[in-house]
Amino acid sequence: MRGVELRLDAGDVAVAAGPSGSGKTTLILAVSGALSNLLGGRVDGGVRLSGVDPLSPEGFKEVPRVLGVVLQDPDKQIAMPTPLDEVAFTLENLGYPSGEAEERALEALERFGLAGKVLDPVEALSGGEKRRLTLAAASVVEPSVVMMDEPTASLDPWSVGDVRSYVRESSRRGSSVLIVEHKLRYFLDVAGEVIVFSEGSLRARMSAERAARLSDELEAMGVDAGEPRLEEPRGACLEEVARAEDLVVGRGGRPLIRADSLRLCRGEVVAIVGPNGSGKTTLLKTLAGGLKPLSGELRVAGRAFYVPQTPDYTFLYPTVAEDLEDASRRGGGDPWRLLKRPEWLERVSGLHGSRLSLGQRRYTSIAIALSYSPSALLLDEPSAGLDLRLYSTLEQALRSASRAAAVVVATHDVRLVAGVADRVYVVRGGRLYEVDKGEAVEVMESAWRV
Amino acid sequence: MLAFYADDPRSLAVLVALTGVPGILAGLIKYRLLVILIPFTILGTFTNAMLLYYLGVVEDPGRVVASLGPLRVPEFAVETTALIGARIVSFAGAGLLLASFVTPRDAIKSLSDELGLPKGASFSLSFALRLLPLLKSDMEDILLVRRLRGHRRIPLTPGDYKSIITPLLAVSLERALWVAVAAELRGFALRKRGLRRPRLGLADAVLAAALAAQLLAVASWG
Repeated sequence: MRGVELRLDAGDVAVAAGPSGSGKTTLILAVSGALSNLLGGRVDGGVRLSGVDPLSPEGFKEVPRVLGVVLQDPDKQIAMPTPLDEVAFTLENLGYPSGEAEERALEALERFGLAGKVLDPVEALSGGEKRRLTLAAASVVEPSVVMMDEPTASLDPWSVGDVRSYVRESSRRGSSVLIVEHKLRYFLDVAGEVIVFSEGSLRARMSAERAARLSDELEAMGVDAGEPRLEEPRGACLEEVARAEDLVVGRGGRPLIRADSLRLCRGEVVAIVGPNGSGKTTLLKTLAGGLKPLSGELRVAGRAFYVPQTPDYTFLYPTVAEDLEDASRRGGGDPWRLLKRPEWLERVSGLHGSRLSLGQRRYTSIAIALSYSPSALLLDEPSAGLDLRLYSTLEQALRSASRAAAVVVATHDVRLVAGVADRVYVVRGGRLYEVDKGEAVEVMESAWRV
Repeated sequence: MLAFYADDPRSLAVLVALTGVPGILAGLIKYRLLVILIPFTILGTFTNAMLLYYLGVVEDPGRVVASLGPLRVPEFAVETTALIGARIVSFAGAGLLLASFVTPRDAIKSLSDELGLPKGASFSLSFALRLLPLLKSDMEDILLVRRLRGHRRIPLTPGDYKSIITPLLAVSLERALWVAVAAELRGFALRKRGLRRPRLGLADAVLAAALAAQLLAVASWG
């Protein structure tokens, strides 16, 4: 990144947006001092965080006293096994005696609605609860500066509302807040300033009010700023692929979702929406044959292929080329039969899949799945963390894939539901209902705006 | 460490009985998937021993003690598998005992405050405990994807294991890097060791007695 100038006064909220690879995460790492002090990067120029110079080794040690950081993926941030341990870890690092640390940690957890789960294993928390835990850990020392990297990625709309509340509360308390976010519109009404980056440079800066009026211009810069467009369903049921009656799915004998009726067809994209932890992933894994239904009837014709939320699990070989070759050999299909062969493929074919960008990883994992000519393609949060351009590519990929398979997406992304889904199921109170697409979009939109 | 040192069947039997078995029983509750991997590791050892025997590189394989169809099993394969298997069970049991009864925060405090271990080393150990449930969940997804990709359900060959370990390592390394960055940004460098005298309870006494018995066994029998 070059030529970055940024000033946040007490209570200011700024949102940094821009396409993937534009340097937004690098900005947070640079400004926090992590880039130069931990990751071997180089930062020229100067930074001051409440009087602390995070670029100097001595100043960097003081950063935790003034800065709270929330990273994109809670599982790559949480170091301790229970919420109480996690929040107390921050305080103990800063020299609080154990007893006081626990007391303050309990208060923080109560503020973030985790009072009943202080000693639960972190693995038992939903995605939204894990996000609230990272917010509690970042705010427990009441930092004067807060930085958040893609805080809404993979969050349900209700949890997005929690993040927005946290930003408002931090601002009211006098903290300066910097948010890096693809989905700009989630924060336009709580932010004062919008900064747009592109290819490592500052491309534009404007007030959030102005940004709200210039959504078309921002979208042209690769920023997802517009409202979701409710498209008429384009697909049609060409062939029934899966049907479930009185199906109950769950884990460890504990039921999570009851579906009186579920039907999947080749030719359609079906969205499954619902809060974090409601069992959408479990339902997809059950449809793929990875878990047995607890009860009820489930018939799937042909092969169902599940692509996890973390696409890295799909890469079993040291290189992308070997993975695609193995998939073609075992699956018998051409991965690029339905998808456009990307121009970057040659460049990355010698790398392990995990070295690719998130968008490239998702695209390649879908290509691997399509090599198996599945009758049902089951995708878990396929659009999480994708910028506008990559999202458009994904949209096209889903539509193409639905010509040959029933495409099912478990998602919190209202763009995906409004734009691509032909039918929508919602998980509510442990039950799966088919709902009108417009109604689902309305519920999701109203949830995060609260 | 005792398991690596011991090579007498009697002392290994004591290690298996006092560390391996309790650890595996405790691990069955929370880490069943990891426990299931132990027999596969022992099977791998046996396969290696048989391969070495059939390649003719073993100088004195002993007499043939069993025949499985056309397959002859020499004393060498049985003894090697028993020896290495006992070691695997012992140190897997030790790891599972630690993971089952110690939380990462307890571990980081005890290792640094009571045993005086550098905080970096104690954090690494305690985070390893936090990683176990995450690895379990990663494993579930990887095994499902392997199956969907037409790989055999039960891994047998080195290639099978590689197809599990490759994504597991890739995900774990990325996670470890970011957790370390997050921990530093939360003041880990400022963490001070408050050295204190260890507080011992009944469980510690039982553990110490078991350790003493194992030490005595290895010292007596080798």
